[in-house]
Amino acid sequence: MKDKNTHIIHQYLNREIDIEEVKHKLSDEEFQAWKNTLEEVEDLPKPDFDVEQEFERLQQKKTISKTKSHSLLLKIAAVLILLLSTSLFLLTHNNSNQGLTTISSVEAKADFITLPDNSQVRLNAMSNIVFSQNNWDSERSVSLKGEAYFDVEEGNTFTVETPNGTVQVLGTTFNVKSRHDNFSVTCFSGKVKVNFLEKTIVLEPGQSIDNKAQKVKLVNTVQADWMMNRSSFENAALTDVIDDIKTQKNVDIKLKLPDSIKFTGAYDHSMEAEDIIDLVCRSLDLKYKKISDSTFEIRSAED
Amino acid sequence: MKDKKSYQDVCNEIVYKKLFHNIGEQLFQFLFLKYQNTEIAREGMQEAFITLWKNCKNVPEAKAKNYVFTVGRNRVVDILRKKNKHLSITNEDYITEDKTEEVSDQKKQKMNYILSIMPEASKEAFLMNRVQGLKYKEIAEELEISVKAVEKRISIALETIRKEIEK
Repeated sequence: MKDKNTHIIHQYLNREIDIEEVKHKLSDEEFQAWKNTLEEVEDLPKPDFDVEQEFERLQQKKTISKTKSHSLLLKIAAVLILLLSTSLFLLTHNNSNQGLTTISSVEAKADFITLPDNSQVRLNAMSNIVFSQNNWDSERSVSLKGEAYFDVEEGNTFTVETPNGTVQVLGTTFNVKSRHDNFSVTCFSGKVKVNFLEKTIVLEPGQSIDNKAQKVKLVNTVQADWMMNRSSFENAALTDVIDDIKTQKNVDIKLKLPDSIKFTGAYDHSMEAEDIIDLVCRSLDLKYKKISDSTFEIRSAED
Repeated sequence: MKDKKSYQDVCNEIVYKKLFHNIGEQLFQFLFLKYQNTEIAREGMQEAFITLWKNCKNVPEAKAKNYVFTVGRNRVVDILRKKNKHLSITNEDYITEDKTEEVSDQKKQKMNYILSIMPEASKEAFLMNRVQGLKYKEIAEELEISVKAVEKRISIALETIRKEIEK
């Protein structure tokens, strides 16, 4: 290959000159000699490629390789769980007062309540929310006692206020639970700002925080348990478990045991109260006594 | 909490999908021509795009193409090392794949064969120019060699092709 010719070919490959110029610059003989090669390099073999199928495959791998990747989705979505101290039905806000709207629930509600901006709320059992219809445009703020799932439209900051802390998001879905002196927030996707105990923590998808451990931990649920009609516990105080059963099944359970017992497990809300209590007692080697249809007593097996 | 702006980078699903549509096939073709193996090409391509996704915050859209090509080239080397295979993979793959196809595919096979006998360094520079669409100067920067060296490598690639075609 002569230097001059090579240079012309390089110019062509480097998109400095087009094929006409190559033809012009090379002798006919040289051009003919290169013609096939140049045609060949313009039309390199392409293996079959189904772009949609490959993208689908990629999406699956993306999810496996990084479960937290939801934070990067266009759609912001977050699920929070707050456990808060609350005396259940003490708060009965006055509807007539300052245009405040109060919505309460005794049982878990299957329907969504629509807020003024079309954000959706679903209340779990024994919960209520209070918000101001009048001020909604300037301040999206809801007071919560109990537990609720929120699906928030994008917009300015949406605040959920609770006695133990506040949660702020822009446009997300999240779940807020408030029972007793627990405070915990779980973010399933999107980003969620939690203020409690004079701290501010931003949770990423799959992260959870509570006021007992005060440490961010990872969770692997995709939706709030109660939305799937179940409750699950990981090394939770038995008193908290019992409180949850009491709330969900509307029964009274007397606990004659030390506080230190921990429970890990889950139950389905469709189960009978007695079956749930039986399940918990079996797993912890405890005994229960049915006092009436809605009253139970749990004690240690030795008694 | 104001994350709006960051969605304009590759982390934006739409931007990401568009990138895949524009360059996924190119990268696949590049790796296939380099290694003559569709499985390895697919794996390298997928991993490159997953890496892009993981680092989407740090990669501006304009640099994403060269980023996935660089990652793809490097990842395949890792994949091959892991699989304990040699770079000189046999040509069986495309020969069996294209057996039933028509005349134009004889040309295809011929080209695949030529690439399989081309020196690695030349093939890489050649494909970076032809498939990735880089100019010599960009190849030089990417491979940290001189433009002259790029010219030399591509010259060898062209000579190999010309010689084989004339056979």
